[in-house]
Amino acid sequence: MKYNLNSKILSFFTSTPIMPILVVGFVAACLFVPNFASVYNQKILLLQASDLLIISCGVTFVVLNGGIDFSATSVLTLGSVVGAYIMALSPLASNPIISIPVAIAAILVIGLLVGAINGFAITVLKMPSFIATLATQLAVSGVAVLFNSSVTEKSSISGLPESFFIFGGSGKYYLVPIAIALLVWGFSYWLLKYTKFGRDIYAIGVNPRTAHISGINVKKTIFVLLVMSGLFAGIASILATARNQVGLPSLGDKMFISIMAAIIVGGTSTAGGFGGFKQTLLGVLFVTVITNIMNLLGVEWFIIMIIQGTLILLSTMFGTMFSSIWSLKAGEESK
Amino acid sequence: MKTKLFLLLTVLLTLSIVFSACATQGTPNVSALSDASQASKEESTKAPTTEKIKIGVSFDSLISPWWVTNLDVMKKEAEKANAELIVVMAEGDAAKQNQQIESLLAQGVKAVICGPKDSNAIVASIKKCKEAGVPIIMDNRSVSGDVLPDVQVVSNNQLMATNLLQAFADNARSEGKTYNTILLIGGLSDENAVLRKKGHDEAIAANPDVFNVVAEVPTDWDLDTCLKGLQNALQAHPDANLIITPSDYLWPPIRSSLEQIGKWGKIGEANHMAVVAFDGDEVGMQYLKDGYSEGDSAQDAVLQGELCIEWALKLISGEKPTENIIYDEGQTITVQNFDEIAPQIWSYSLLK
Repeated sequence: MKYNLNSKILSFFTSTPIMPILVVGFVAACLFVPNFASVYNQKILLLQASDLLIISCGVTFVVLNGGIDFSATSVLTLGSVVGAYIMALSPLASNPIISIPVAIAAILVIGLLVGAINGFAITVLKMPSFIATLATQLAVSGVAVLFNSSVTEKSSISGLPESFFIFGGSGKYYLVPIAIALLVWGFSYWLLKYTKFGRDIYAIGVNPRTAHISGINVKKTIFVLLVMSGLFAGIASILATARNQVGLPSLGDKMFISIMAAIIVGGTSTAGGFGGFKQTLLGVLFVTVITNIMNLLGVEWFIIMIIQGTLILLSTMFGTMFSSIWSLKAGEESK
Repeated sequence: MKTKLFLLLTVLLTLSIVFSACATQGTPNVSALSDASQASKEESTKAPTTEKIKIGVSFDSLISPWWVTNLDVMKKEAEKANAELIVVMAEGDAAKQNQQIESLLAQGVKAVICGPKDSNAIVASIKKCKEAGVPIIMDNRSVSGDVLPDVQVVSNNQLMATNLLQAFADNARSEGKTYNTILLIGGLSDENAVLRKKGHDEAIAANPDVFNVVAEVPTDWDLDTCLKGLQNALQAHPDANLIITPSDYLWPPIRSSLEQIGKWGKIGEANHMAVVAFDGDEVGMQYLKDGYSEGDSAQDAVLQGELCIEWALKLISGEKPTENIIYDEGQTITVQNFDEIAPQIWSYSLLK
């Protein structure tokens, strides 16, 4: 009984190692970091976490599957400039009632297309996800800059309709992006935990060959996951574009490290087969809270980078350590 | 067990948010930010206080000595005025800069001084500052459009660029020289780069007998992009004999490219390639002094830093400017007037 309790506590810390650190850090920040606990700061903290959570959910699917999706940030970028063009510079721009839905649809289609290209390259052409998504990331980012420079002399597109900013949480609508992010997260959590598709993802992540022998359609699953990752990046692009109120061809350039930090620090294994959306949610909150605390404390940007890098390193180390201890205990138990 | 533990910790987390939010009365909230700012303005005008005034500074990055000097001056001026600067760097990320300005507002700064990464993207932050009743000042990079910051302290980029090239053209004409020109272009998201390009174009169009533009090289304010673009342009146009750069920041790739083709020489030497620059920082001024450059247009990092702090304090105390843009008219320095003008430039004391 005693071992059973210990093993469950150990299992909890193994599956969500960041939770106690997040709770302690959050409470400490509330008490000791000036302005951290203010309603205004909590609001911007949640808003800043919204698009990161959505795009991280998409990439989490791929990581759980044992892959990686570098191209998610380029979807963010291309979606941003194409959407902004439709709303601000295209012939539809004069009518926001039409231009906003068309822009949103276009952004989502871009996400689906990039995901489908990745899926084709990985499942049909049998390219490693590392190479395939890196290639699409480069190409799509280039297309974004090319598109932007062909429609405007400036390197960003402004003049978006005010009503579109609702998706960025403008004014009294600050709950809109938070609600969208929670919906996406809730859907992802449900899909992974309560459906056969979710179990297939884990199975492929642990061992794709075994999964194939067990009757799982590995290629189809991987293809769908990459399309979903692209789609989620498209949704994040809508929120981020609305939040910044411009189409930016550099929107996703610096975001990938935050996405991977959130996924890894949360406790999802980059080797696949272990982790989930509870971990990604905690990881996103952790990364956002840490960055927010550092900003509030006036910590220099390069120190923030050092801290973020160190946290990824430490959390990966502790994750591996906990997993080893857990495996050892489980081994002793079976004897 | 795991679920219970997860739930317990989630409840703890939620409770800590609720209790801490309740416990920190007086910290800004969404609707109260404007009122809080107004109240603080009234306090600052009514009674002297020992508490330092917080001013937020949001820069793109400290990529050149100009920005380093500009920030140093602000720190000194802020200290004199018993103000505290909270400095954040966006490191080339316009979205991050908007997030950082939100954090500055959350920290209760009374004014924001901003060197924007992107003249369009920063508008979202200007709107947020206005909603919060916190004045915002643009430092060195201007914003145009419907939503303007409270004050913009900028160099008269277009005029300065035109004046320098006109002075260069006048001298070239008197010497009977013509130039096959490579024109470097800064980041087009930066209003300064756009205006300097306009100024250069204006002077080039006005002096067709002196300038023949053989290549335009976009750099996006990136040294590596500049190096590769310039190398290609020099290969494609071996007859080029003038480089116009929109910033002294781009000197390293210019020097490297010219050294590679054996054209890094001083004025008067057979292998000299003419270069005219912009900024007037110690790098550009040193090359001008040493004879590698024909001219520089100096914007005043000290003056602009002083003006930013001065106007931040004025705006906090409720004063309004008569003009939205306050110009630094800059100085045109050439080989011919170096001894006379250079000692007036902020970077002169740093020269070897």
